Amino acid sequence: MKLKYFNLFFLLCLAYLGIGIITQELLKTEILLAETLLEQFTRDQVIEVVNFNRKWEWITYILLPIILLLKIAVIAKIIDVGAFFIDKKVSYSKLFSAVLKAEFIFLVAPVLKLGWFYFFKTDFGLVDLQNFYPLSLINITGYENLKSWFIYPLQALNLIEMAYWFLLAYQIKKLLEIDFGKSFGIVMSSYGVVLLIWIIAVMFFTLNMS
Amino acid sequence: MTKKKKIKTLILISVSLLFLILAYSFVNSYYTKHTREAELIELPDIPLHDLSGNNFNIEQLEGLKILVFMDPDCIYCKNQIKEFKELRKRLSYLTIVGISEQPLEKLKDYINTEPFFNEPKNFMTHDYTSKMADHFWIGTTPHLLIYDENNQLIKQNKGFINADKLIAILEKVQ
Repeated sequence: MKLKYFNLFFLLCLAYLGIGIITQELLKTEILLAETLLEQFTRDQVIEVVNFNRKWEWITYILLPIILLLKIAVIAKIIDVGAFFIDKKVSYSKLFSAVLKAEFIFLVAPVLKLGWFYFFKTDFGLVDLQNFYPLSLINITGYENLKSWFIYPLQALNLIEMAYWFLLAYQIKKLLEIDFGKSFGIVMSSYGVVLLIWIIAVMFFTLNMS
Repeated sequence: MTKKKKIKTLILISVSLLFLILAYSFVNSYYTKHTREAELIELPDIPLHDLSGNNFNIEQLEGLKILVFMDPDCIYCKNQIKEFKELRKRLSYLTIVGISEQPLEKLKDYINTEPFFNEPKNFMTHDYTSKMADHFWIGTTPHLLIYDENNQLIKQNKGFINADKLIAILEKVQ
């Protein structure tokens, strides 16, 4: 990874971690978790779970950059394959950089989520926090009467995801020197198809586990 | 066919196959689950025994009823019984039936230490053939099933549920 990409990637990880920590503090997620667990477990068991979470919290800090790196690398490769289908050649590192830059748009989601629960919907539970995704279809349908396997696809269909597609298409347009319609076509036929497969896979596993 | 074309065809076939397999698996799982849920709507005619070894017919119980699959050793089941006691204080009209596959002697010892099942409209039964547990696909305990007066399923709950939530569900039916 080139140094400028590394700096950008480091900034992305730091932003995710920062928002995560601020969310934890402002929304008091640990108390929410304890309150939810107290409905099912004894006080000692809840303390045990909370202590376990605190002890292993550092793993999140290690896993986050690994998962992000993997996600960006895989999406860059998928778009690489998309470009290959229209007989265009572009270096993988440039695609990696494009995907990395576009990834910043997803930071909007946790920020909006934090704002929503901190300023507007101040009376909320852990389930509300888990199921809410800003600017998504789930905010129209609601999740109270939804089957658990139907929650993820409705969260995934959101305006931030749409903006991500446009951002990716815009950068690919510049990289490949093609018109926007064609670059959006690449994003749709490569990333779009894989996203659809991913959503079905998540739905399948949720259905079987519920 | 050029090498490039062959690779493109291979990618297309692989992605299409992956998509089809996943979509088929999902639809298949959905229908299996749906069929299984449909079978639970009506209370089944499966024999149970009370702890004296007599036949116990759930279908003949009147009014709202909660069936709870449980194990006397399970801590969550003990917590569930605490919630049932709370529920009983506020709703007296419903029937609560504990169902367990554990050995009969163990269940007898249990109700000696837990008087809840000796009270009116609370019953402890023995699923001696495990057919009831198999019919409801019981994987964990407690597992609650709430049936209305016409023996139609209102709600299924895997795991513990507190008294307030139960009351909210039951009051909607009444």
